[in-house]
Amino acid sequence: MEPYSKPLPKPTRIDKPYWEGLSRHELLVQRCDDCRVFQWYPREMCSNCTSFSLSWTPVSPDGTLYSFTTQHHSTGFKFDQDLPYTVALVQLSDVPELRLVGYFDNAEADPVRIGMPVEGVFVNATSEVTFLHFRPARNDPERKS
Amino acid sequence: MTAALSAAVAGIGETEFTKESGKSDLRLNLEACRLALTDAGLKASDIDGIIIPTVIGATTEDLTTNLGIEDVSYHAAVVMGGAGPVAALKHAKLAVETGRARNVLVSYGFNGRSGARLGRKPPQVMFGEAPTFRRNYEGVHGLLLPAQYYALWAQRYMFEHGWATTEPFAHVAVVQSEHAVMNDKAVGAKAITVADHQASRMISHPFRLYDCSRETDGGAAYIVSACDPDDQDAVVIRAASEGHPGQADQSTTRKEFMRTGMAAAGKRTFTEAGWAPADVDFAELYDAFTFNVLWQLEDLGFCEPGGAAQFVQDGNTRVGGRLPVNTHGGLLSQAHLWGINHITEAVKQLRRTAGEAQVPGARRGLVTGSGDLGDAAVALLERGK
Repeated sequence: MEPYSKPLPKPTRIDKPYWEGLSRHELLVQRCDDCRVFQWYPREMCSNCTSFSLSWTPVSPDGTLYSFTTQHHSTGFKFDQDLPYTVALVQLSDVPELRLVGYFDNAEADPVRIGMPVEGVFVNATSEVTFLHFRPARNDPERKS
Repeated sequence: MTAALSAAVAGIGETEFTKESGKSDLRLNLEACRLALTDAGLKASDIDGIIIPTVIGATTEDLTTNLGIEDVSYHAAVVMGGAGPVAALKHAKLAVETGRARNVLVSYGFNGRSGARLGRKPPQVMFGEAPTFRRNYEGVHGLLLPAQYYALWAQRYMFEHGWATTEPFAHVAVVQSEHAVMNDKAVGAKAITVADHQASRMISHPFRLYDCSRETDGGAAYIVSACDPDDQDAVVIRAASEGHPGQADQSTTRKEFMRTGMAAAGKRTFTEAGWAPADVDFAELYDAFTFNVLWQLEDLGFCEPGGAAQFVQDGNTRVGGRLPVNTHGGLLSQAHLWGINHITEAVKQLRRTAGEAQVPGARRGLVTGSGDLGDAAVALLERGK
């Protein structure tokens, strides 16, 4: 397997548990212990009530497509080998108030459309880094392929 | 009670706008500053305030040292991306009106085409030195360029308004290309058709080439000074405000995905001036992408939500229409200079020196800036008292 040449994250003190969760194929997001509100992306404090008590909470990586863009022009990064490729903005089923960005696998399999059900895919990029991608859900009633 | 000071744009300067300047970024700034000083009838030593409008380009030290300015009593730097030049107008206005400075210089100069063209080399602005959230949760998935971020917004807008095609974007591009042909700074501009737009290559779906702005080498500067209340020709800054989105840093995760700071900035600015959208003779709207023009026409109250596409298609934004928009061709067809050229164009319109695209009798103009994925600034300029 070729070494991974696309951009890699620089995990921080704050988001280390998120990356560790992905390595176990688990999506963790922060939830406030005081007001119980979920938030994404990982932050120092709860943006709803200013509490510093946040717990990493497992949620389903499945959701619906909220928006997307398919890239045709060079970005100057190794993503160019995939052109055209699609980036998904996904609203989580478990926590509809949260939206996550993810690389969209199998975008060519079906017409990509806002509102389509998608499922999370854990992709091991290196021995240390796992990404959460998305792809069309297998149970999409409108799926053609 | 003494009358409050009024602030006016006393001078403007623009370098040549080219694809390859062959000059340093600093040289572009200094040329623009010198032209603005001449235009204002001021010496460099008259400048006692400097606002730095963007994170790229010259610093206050660069400008004072090279221009031989010994001291300034007021200085600030704005970090609002493309909203900076209009936000700087607000800062300069406040500095002048409160007597903190008499003549405030704002300059921008950058080799945006030959030096830092996006897609040619890894974009440091969006990714290389980007904050963690942008790198770790967006960049690693291939979301890297401004076109992609705005495409996510455009795609969602199209969905919410039930659009089947991107032709409404094409109409924006067509109007501005026609304005650019009338503009002597838009070197090599050519008028395009809806069919040209629809046939242009895809960049970041749904954006095609003609949805994207024209990366440019160039510089522009303006000077804000206290104005003579009897000067009927002064370009007075009647109002200027800014606005910001909730969860300002990362656009994709905001609670209200489609809410930037623009609507709030517009409302504040109109309230400050005591004007309504119908009072404005023309608008120079920050147009990094075609979609941004439609979005702002609605956020600023010129159109109902979902109504901007028809408004543009009906010709209202052409010179000669109800609300001429981006009379110089804008970032799309004149030059991407982070919107400082929207300010210089508005000043030309109010001085009645805008050439072929002059809006007859232009008296009141609106200028917007938008940047950092949602920060916004709006200014209302008026000729004379």
